[in-house]
Amino acid sequence: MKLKTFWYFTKEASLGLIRNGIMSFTAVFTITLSLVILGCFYIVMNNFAYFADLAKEVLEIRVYLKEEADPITLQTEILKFSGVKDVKFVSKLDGAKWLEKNLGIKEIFVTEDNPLPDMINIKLAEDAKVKNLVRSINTLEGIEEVEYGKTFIEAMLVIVRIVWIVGISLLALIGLVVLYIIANTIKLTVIARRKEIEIMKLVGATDWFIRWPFLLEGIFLGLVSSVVTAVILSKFYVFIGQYIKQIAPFIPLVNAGELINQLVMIVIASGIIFGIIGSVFSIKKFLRV
Amino acid sequence: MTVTSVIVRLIGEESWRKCRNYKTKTTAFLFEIGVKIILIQFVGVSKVYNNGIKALQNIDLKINRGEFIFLVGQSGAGKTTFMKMIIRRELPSKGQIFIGRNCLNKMKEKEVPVFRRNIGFIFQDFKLLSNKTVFENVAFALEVIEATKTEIQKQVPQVLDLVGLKNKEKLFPSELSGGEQQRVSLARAIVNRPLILLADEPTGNLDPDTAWGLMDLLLEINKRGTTIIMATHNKAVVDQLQRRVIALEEGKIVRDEAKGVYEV
Repeated sequence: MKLKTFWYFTKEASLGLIRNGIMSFTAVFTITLSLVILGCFYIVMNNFAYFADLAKEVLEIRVYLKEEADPITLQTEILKFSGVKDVKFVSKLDGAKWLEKNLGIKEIFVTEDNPLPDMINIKLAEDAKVKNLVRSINTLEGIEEVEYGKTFIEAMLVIVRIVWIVGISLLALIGLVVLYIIANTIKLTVIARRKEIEIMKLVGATDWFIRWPFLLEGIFLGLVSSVVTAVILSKFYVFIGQYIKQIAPFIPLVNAGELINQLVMIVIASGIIFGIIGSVFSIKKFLRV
Repeated sequence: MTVTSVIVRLIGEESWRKCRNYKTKTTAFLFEIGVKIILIQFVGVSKVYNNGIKALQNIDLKINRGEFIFLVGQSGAGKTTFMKMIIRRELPSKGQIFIGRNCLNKMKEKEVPVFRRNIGFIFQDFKLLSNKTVFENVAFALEVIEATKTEIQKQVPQVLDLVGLKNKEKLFPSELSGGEQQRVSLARAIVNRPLILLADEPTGNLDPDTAWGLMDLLLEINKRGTTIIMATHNKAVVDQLQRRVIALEEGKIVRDEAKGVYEV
């Protein structure tokens, strides 16, 4: 593209935006709003996922063994299951020592008749499917009981799944809305310049020559909205982060800087992509001359 | 002795100067010594629109380079469809159209813009851009084909001079009379020196005197080698100029006379 042509496109695009000033403003406002909602969901989803990961990390499954069980074989068997990060064998003697030490008593458990069973502690991997894992462990020979924070983990996993599903659907829905808004805004400027487009086609302008100014308009609308969104969301997240730290310091949050960097990139990229797709859609019909 | 000087000796200095307006010197030469070159050819062309209307039926037609043609017929006879086919705005349902070396049926979509640069057009309603000045309206035709600034600065004043609007280049269309607006649209049509000029009832909105002014310009452009096809209802103009007249009726050619008159 010649530099002169590029300037021509830029000039035409700015004229289009200015001529339809109110519409451009409305578009930026609405797109920003949609992107903010989108971004909020992204933040919430990310934090839930983060929280779930952390929860899994500190979570252990305890497997109590029967008297006659062979701990070494069992350990190797368990290690083969997916979702298992590490196993650690705690013998009944170790268990008794740990218990006496913690309870501050002596020679009650560490005796010949130690009532505690042998135990294997399992550390979970991040992608662990706890329920399946427990079921698999229960099929092994020599297992007395499997103990884990059942309800907590399950609830956590369900919530994460729901948030993802709702989030993804909303994401798609809001994406469509943003596309529709951009397409409509551009369509108005296209309609206002229908005659111009017709003449351009008749004097031999290529389709891309006609399309560029509208594309630039779309990109500009998307870009402005996404920058505004990025600023709003990052301020908002930092503020909320501090607030939560004050009232509930035990709730873990994704590091603000990291998340905001991601968010800004995602929001700006989607803003621009929406701008391009929206304008391509709206001008298509008018190019058939 | 160069080829050019031989040709100049053969056809004379003045004819050679006229030839400057043709796309190539060879065709110009042939044209000048009287060889007819077919520019537009319709072979068994029919057009049926999606709503079932038969706009053109079995048209066979040859138009030579440099001709001035009046296309007459009642409204709905197919004149506009005929013109739309030449600029490839519509494709024939049957038959083939050749413009110069191009077969429009086989032309790819991406070749259409470049092809259209060979054809100028003017309409009854001028189709000027109201937010652009006279100069900008004419320059627009050059801008969209990515002409350089130097070319635009050179060609636009030339063509505005030709149509007699040299002093009005800074005015907007709304500040001009109908005749002047039509001349702006004519300037825009001829600024990139098209082979063919299509005029769809260009005098339809003009009073008789202004219409004659426009006709004089069209004749002048025709003299410089542009083939002109003009759809019109203007009996006085057709009868007086005595050019080739093609009459359409219900999509068929009912009359094609070398020196025809207006009878509908």
